[in-house]
Amino acid sequence: MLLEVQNLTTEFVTDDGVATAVDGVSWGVRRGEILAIVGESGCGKSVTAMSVMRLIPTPPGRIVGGRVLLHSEAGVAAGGENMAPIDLLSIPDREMRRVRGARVAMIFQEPMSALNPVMTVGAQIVEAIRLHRGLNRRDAYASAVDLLQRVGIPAPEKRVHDYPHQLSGGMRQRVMIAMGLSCNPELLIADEPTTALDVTVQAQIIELLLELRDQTGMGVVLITHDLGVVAEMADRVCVMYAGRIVESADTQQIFSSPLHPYTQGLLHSLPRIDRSMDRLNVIPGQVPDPLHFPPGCRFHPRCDLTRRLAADGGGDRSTEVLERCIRRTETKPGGDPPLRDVSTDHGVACWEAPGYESGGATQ
Amino acid sequence: MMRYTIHRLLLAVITFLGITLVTFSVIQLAPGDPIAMQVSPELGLEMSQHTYETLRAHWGLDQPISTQYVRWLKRLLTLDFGRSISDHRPVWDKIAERLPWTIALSVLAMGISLLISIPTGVYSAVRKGRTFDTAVGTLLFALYSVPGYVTAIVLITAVAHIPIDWLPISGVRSEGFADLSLSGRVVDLAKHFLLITICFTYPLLAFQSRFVRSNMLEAIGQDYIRTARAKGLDERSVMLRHGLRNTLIPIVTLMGLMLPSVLSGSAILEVMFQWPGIGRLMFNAISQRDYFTVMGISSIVAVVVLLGTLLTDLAYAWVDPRVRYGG
Repeated sequence: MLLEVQNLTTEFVTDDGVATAVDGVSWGVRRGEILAIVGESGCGKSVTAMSVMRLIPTPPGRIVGGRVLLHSEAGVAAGGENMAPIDLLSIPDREMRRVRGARVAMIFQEPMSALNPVMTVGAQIVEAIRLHRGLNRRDAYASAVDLLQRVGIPAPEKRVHDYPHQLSGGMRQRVMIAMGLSCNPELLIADEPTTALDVTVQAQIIELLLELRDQTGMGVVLITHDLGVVAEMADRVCVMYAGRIVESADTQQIFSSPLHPYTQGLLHSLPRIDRSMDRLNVIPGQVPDPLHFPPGCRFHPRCDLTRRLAADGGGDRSTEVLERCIRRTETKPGGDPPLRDVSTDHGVACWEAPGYESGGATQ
Repeated sequence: MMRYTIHRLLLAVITFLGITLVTFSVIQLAPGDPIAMQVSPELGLEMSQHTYETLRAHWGLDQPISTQYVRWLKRLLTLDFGRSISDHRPVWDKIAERLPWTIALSVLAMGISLLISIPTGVYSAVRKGRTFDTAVGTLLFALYSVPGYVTAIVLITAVAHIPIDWLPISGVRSEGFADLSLSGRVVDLAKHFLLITICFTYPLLAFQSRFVRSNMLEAIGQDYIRTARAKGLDERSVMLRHGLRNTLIPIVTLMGLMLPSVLSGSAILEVMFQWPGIGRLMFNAISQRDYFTVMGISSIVAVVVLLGTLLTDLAYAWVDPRVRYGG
């Protein structure tokens, strides 16, 4: 394991109360692996990534619980001793700054606003290189040119002196990636890296990220709402809903046998090229307000299963299910079903998922 | 860039003509005329109709305003500002001896206020809502609410009454200035500058500091600040290299916009402190309907302001690459 997130909980204090944006989320990513975190806007996927980097603006945000363990590469430590992982949430700011950009790098969507408009792209890359690799200005610039070349920017020795506004959207995202890679990070967190781009440029950026992963063996955490991107890139997937992970499995399984009704709904809402449709399928309802999550399983108001059963209005089976999904509060005040492995490496958080009740350990 | 500069210069010339034409008309339309004001009826002096007509003809005031304006412009082309109607000295000489004092005061006030307002504004933004921000904000707001001339009255009265002998309240030099040593002269000048500079600077300071703060806050909220933090930069570098650098753009604009008001805004203070600047010269010239002095000062101020605006735009291009490569 390269990075392990355990029980991460992040809150935002608002005028109307405390909103739990990320609620006890756990996942892990291995070296060379691409883990996708998918979900609708506001499901907490970006907040999860920002929490890992400790970039949550405080106040109003605060990380209230959990651990983020960054493991050292096995065997790298002198004498083969087992180096203990560091908990990114508990180390001092100074140490965290040595991790940011160096061991764990992050790239953002909307590369126009994420790049400083008054600094050349070269200067922005060089800044990170000089900070973490201690190179002098000239070597750092040479290294920046190399990086720009690696991410596929033509005439990098010229482009290095360009300002962000002189580049196209795709080029800017390449610059962001070059900046992220500048200090050979072990983990790259990519927050919606292709969202702001044209479809063809998206494909190029995906290609590039895959290539770089293969070359460097770094782990990648991909934050996205785009299942197409997930299918093309990810090895494993965590599906988030309203601040919690509702399903996690390898990409193949998520697409072939989704277990959670939310995941099924997401896949069902994808347009199909092999079928004609009058309308796109949607998941009814809206993402709940994080200040007022519904009781029981927080997905139940939008859940196909509970809605169908409620419409039936009776019967032992439906009463039993509704009781469990809507009112069950035995695990915690919210009463959400915990994420449990129902088969090897396939976790789901739904009382009604096959094998859930008899399922293995809570993840 | 070349085309841009030429374009801007042409616009400046047209603007200049507009400004002077309006000033010329307005001052002539004001009641009273400079010849009649040469004599004081309260002293029992009177001017014969003949003398009056002769003097008017001498200054060309008997001509229609349009003719006068064209004549004035023609002379201006040879850099001749004409003579003052009240004391017959060349207008240019009168301005030349006054202008440095006003410029010195303006530059000093702008410089000091920037030196203080940028750090306080930035620090207030970084510590938004904390004690420092609240305290400084309250203090500056209080200062901003009191005009400079009110403080000037208080200070002048205080110095005169206490009395603080060593602190002069008018003029720029003490008697016997010529006999002082170099350091003595510097100290003497500094004393004369002290009160008027305070009265001139603090309203600017209050305003600029809030301006820097709000712009810095806006910069801090931008995505590239998050990117800078994600690189592992410490807060200081994030704020100064990424935040302040972007805040400089609006500050440069503000300075350009403030230049006219700073140059002309000193008039009241100059009169109160008997400061030999062009503000006071203008004040006196207007009250004596000294048309040519008024026109001379307006022209100079107009040129300075237009040049200032042009320089601001060029400086803008220097701090903001998007403008540099724009058109």
